[in-house]
Amino acid sequence: MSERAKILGEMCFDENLVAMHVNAVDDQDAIDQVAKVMLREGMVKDSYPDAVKAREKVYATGLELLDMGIAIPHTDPEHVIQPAIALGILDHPVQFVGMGEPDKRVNVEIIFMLSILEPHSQLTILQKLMKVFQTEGKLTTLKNAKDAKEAAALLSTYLND
Amino acid sequence: MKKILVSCGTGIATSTAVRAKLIDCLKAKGYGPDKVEVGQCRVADLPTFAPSYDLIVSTCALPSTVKTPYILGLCFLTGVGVDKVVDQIIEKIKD
Repeated sequence: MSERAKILGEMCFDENLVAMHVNAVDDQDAIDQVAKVMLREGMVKDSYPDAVKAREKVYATGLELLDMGIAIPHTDPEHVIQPAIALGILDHPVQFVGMGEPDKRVNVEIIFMLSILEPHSQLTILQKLMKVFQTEGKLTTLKNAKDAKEAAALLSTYLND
Repeated sequence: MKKILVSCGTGIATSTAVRAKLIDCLKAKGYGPDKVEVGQCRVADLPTFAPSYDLIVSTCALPSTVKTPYILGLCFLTGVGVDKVVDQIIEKIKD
């Protein structure tokens, strides 16, 4: 098996971990679809999709950024095999609960799903991801990618900056 | 030495990133590691650790049993309103 593309040698991410045109009825459905991509690619254990969905109900991950709303669903390391990022670009905005603000609703257009084993060794990626969120225009460009390959190339470039 | 505790749901992604950003912001305002210690935990462990800290910065709601002062640290993820929150934090920890 060939080496998967890794961002900064830490987390797997390539076009196979990108789900375009995710058509979801609600946040749980959206998370489920992207989590299944993680599972299909062998990044996580069978328990991961349910664990991420359950965690989102208790600790919501909706974030209102300058460009748009996004979500960063993830769960405990026990469900993870390989640290990775899975990208889900939604067909239409889906409402998520805001992180740290249970009364707030965020219209999410992109999901950045994370499978993390050791947060401190993946800190650089997390910081770079935050930088992408905070830089106006990057998310809009990402959302408008024409296919999985372009989306993957874009995010990889942003994270390798 | 003042002590700030950063927490989030699983103590993994957001608290790690928030803690790193918070440390940088505090250092830039003259509150380096000689003045402030910044710890990290998941919200479920807060009742245990919170009492020995001066302030909690969290990205999720806290258990009602936690009495330590608390500030929402969402801005460290979104980049929106960081300066204001850093000033609020310094206000809480300065002598």
